[in-house]
Amino acid sequence: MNRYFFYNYFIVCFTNLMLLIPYYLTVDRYNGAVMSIILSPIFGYLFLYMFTSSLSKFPGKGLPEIFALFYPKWVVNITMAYKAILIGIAGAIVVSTYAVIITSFLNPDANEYIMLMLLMIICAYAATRSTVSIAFILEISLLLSIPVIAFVMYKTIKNPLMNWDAIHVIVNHIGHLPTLISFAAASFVFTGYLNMGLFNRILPPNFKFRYIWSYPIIVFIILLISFFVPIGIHGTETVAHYVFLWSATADSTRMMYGFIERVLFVFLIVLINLSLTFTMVGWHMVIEYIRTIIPNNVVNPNETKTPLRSYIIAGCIMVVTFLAALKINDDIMVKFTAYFLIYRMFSEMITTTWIFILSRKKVRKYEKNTAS
Amino acid sequence: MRKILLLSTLMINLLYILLLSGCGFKDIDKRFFVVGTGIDYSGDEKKPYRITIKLAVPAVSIDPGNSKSQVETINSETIAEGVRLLKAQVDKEIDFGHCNVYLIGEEMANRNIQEVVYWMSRRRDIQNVAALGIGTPTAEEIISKQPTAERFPGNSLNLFFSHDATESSFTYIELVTDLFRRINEKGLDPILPIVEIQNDTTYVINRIALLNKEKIMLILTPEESQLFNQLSGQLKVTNVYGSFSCPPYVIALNSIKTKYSISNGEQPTVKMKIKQAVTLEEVPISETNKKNDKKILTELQDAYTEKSEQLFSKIQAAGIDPFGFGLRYRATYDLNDFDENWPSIYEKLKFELDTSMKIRGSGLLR
Repeated sequence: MNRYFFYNYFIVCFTNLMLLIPYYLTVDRYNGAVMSIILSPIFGYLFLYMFTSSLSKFPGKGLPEIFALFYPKWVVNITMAYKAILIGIAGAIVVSTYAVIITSFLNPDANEYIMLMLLMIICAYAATRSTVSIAFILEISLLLSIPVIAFVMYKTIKNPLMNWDAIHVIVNHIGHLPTLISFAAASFVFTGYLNMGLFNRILPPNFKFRYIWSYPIIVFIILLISFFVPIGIHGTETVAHYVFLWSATADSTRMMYGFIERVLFVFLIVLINLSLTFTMVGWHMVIEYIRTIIPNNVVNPNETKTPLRSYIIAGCIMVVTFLAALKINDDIMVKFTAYFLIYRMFSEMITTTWIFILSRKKVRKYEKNTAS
Repeated sequence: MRKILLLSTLMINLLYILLLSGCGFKDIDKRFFVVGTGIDYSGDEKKPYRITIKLAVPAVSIDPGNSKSQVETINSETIAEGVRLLKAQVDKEIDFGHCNVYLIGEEMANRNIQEVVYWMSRRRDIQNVAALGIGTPTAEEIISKQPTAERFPGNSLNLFFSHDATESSFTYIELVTDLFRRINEKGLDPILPIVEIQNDTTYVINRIALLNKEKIMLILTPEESQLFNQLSGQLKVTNVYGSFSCPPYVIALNSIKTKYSISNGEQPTVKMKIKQAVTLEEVPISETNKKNDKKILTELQDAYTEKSEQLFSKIQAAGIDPFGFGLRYRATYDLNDFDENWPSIYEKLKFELDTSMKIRGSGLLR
């Protein structure tokens, strides 16, 4: 069962590395990006450990149930609504960024909003499935994508345009203190464990998190690749000229004897897969969290019939995302995402510590009970 | 249950049909594929860009010399506007997605290429792996040329710039990504191959133009171009290293490894080690059977070192840095203001080269 944790952890890593994170890291490449990349796995591991160790104290319980053990209903409601909004925004950012990419590269004539609507309908419908189904969809989608991601990464590393001097120049700037945004961006890819706040529900009671030390290491390596390879290919200056850095990097690679010469299209297909899955998982969490607020909710991670309220919530998410996308242009989106990343980092740090304290409390309570 | 499963499978498959949008709502027979683009300086200050595109005309038979194409030209104020105006001259949608060759006119390259390259990088449907070159005397002339032995429209130039067909040690292949990188990078300057027409029937690409960030500063002769390609590591992709001639000997290079470091101090020096494995190709008949390999070798090594040094000094004198010494310097030493300090360092940079050759064989003859 540990693999379901693996999938949840890596979907966040892959999606964001390909879409958003390199943009914010390369902006700060001369001041602090390298240091934040090095620091982020340490913090990532710390919070990963805190979160998983506290979750293992509450087997089979999601975040709403854990909070309900300790606090009155209204506190839980507010917390869950807040968490749902945060996760919903992350999903919305990913899906609308991908809508921009798809209209830019695959189909320039298409209407961006129709594209966004189509993508959102797919995500929203998938998000209304039961938690167990979501876990399975996630597994299939990642298993299909990982070989292709590995292939694209391999191809780009082996690119003859690769210039190690440029990478060396950036590595030399290791001494700068990390900036807030670059650290927030780098640490975001290590936050896949937060999905377990919901997916803990489907884990069996005697479940143990294994090999969690290896997760940040793997993600760290991928983070290094996705930051330094574009620098090696585009150089230290040009790298900041591209909006979708990895799309440009994949486009710089040629598969001479592939079916398609441009690696870009292979890359975009994986990216659609990843970003739709990421959004699906995110919105599923939103649906489940919001459902706990509504009275008469039955928590069943393996429900056969989707209740009407799930569809209504999914519809609301879509409408809100769509209205926001209508109002927001690309520039504001980039700034908004930056603020969101920073805000989210602090917020999740607090939540994780909070859960950790609660889990220790539970242990103490339990010990007291057995002692008396 | 089975029925529902079957039905839903059918429904899903039908739904997939909706996803097949075809060629982005415009069918392939309603599109013109651009197979070559040239951008010239028109000579008119108001409308500086002269844009030439070669459109592939689909033909029934694929025979040498049977390729048909349509060439459209326009003068315009900006490139983007020119392309939009060109759309009004043809009956089908213009598609740049398959265009692999972009040529910049020599006159344009003598003025400023930045606008052109920025336009290419910004445009979504232009491949980052497309090749670039300088068209002499004009890009228009090269693009509108119809080589006699061409099978597909525009394929001839395309093959020159790909690794599929001809692999010449004289041809430098520059891609959009690389040129865009070199235009912005501190300590790495742009390079472009020069395309000419020979005998009115085919192309020649055996010279390299070296640019500062904007315009041509130096054009290398074919021999220098080959030497440049050998030293810059450009040929590693194809494993075709070309030859080196030092009359009366000619050697074929089987592999080259160059390694260099820059020492800092009073006299910044590039210390470069060139390791080669060579085969003798031409040896004077009088010397054929004598065992004086050693002597030949030292002679060749010295000649190679001297030629390379001359090339480096020539490039250095032009004040450009296509090899990326500046970038290496940045990587090795801390330089506060690169743009300010580097030119003076580069000016007094000295080159210490060391060529070591190993003879693999003397061909089929003893």
